[in-house]
Amino acid sequence: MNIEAIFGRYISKDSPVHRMDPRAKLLLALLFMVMVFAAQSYFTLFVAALFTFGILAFSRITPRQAFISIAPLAFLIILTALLNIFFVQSGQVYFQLGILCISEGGLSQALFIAIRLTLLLLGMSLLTLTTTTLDITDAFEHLLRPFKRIGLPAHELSMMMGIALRFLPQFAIELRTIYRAQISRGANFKTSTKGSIQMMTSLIVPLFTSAFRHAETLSLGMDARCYHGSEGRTMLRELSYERRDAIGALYIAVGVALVIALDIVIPLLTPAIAALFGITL
Amino acid sequence: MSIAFEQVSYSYTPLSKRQKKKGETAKYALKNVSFTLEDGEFLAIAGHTGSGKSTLTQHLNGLVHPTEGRVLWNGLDMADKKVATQARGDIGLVFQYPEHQLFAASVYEDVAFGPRNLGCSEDEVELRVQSALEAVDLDYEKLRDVSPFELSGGQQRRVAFAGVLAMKPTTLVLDEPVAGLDPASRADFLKLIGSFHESGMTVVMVSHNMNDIALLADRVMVLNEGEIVWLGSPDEVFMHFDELRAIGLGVPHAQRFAKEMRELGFPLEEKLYSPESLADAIAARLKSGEQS
Ligand SMILES: Nc1ncnc2c1ncn2[C@@H]1O[C@H](COP(=O)(O)OP(=O)(O)O)[C@@H](O)[C@H]1O
Ligand SMILES: [Mg+2]
Repeated sequence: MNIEAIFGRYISKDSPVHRMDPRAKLLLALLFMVMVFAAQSYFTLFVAALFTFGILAFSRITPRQAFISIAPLAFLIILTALLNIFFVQSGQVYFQLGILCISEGGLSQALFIAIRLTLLLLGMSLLTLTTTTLDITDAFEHLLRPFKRIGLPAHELSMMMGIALRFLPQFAIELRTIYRAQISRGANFKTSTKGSIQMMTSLIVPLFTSAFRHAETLSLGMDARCYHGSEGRTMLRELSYERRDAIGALYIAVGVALVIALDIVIPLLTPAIAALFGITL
Repeated sequence: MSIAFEQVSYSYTPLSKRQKKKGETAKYALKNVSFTLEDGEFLAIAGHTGSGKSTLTQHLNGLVHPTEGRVLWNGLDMADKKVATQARGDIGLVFQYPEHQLFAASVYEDVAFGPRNLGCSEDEVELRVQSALEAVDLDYEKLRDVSPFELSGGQQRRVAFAGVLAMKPTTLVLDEPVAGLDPASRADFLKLIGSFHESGMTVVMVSHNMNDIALLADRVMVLNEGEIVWLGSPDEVFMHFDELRAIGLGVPHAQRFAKEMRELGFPLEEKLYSPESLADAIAARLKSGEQS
């Protein structure tokens, strides 16, 4: 497995989604979450999926790339689905062994949650696939600015986020090197029971010392460049909202509205439609 | 104990079957590498950054397995997990900047990690730690209970070397062992590595410093873009001045000096010189010139 291929690494493409204002994308990602969570039935989930793949098409990211980027988190989806299968029990029982019980309600719930989670992850990874981390932290800082008045250190927070994001892949690489080095010294991380704490420290201590080393170098580098926080700092590229951001907002807003409306309307209409065709529920 | 590479190719991003069908070509970090590491030899691996040196060293003790081809240790395929585990007791791999992998509270505990993993008894562990620390010129009594993080950079690297030596390998593989050291410690470390070889170990050393290689190696392998360009004795390999330059490597200083003298019309033999032997050759030539 390639551990550097972390969730949603930026894929450079020329697309309207890539060119959108990162602040807009960040806010719309939140709205996107609302849409996915608002979907209460398979039908509206399907509508939400259509909207998700719509964004995918606009962003010129292939579905393959998108799915690969969330593949490392597939375990999350599978785990949640399994929990649902075993803990939700309603309807017909298909299989029972001791306390394990697989029922119709459980299966249906599990599938629903799995699809919903997949859509959610796809949406979030689309944000990071189409936006550089630098842009995301910039957007983050801008959006937090109003809270500066109540003493929130917006610039510092986003700087910290930027540094953390920047070093994540770095530490993944270093962890692999450390892992291999300890394996070379006969370490056994898989089956060893005795001294397994020592096995873990042989990975964690070097990783932390490396983090401190990087932190020292970084702070030295920032001092050397006269870094002094956000006071009087200007931006190389000022962010500004454009027409495409409005279109994007409209697109997601329509999605949310449609999902919520359909979920309210369908249950109301079902008896009416049923009555129309003379079916009694 | 010999290690043989049989047409080894390695790609960090191997292609899926579908991509192969489409006719895409993979990016290889190693391409068709074949050679045998002889018992007791000192093999130097040279190459520009990104030429595949580190990738090759990690094949030597089965940390990574070839995408194509085989690596044999005593005739056994190292793709087999059991073989690889066994081989790691016999082939010590020292990574680049090994001091970054120190972790224990004391020098003793850190060096003891390897032998303990091999299942040695505590008495045996103590013996091994002591002799390993002595082999890297560290004072066992004085340093055994000191935290490795309190030592200087050079001493930390010595401790890391000792950590590998304590596994009593017959083959030692060193990935850029003198990278990031000051000139004085560099010379100390090279001497140390030379002494490992003299004590009978097979040594593989990765370096892009041709002077170091000329000083120590019996054989030199030059890698470029994952392929072996030359594999032979230092004087064979260092003949190729211009080609080495073209792939971003140099030749030893003495060698270059001799070449420039030759081009200026000063008669010198075409062979491998150390700074000392070159000085002698020039002096001898000057002397005979005076006499005639
Ligand atoms: N973890 C990795 N993932 C993908 N490619 C890698 C990785 N490590 C090295 N490479 C690539 O493999 C090639 C050889 O790298 P390496 O063996 O580290 O070279 P060297 O040690 O000679 O500098 C380089 O092109 C490098 O970019
Ligand atoms: Mg390297």
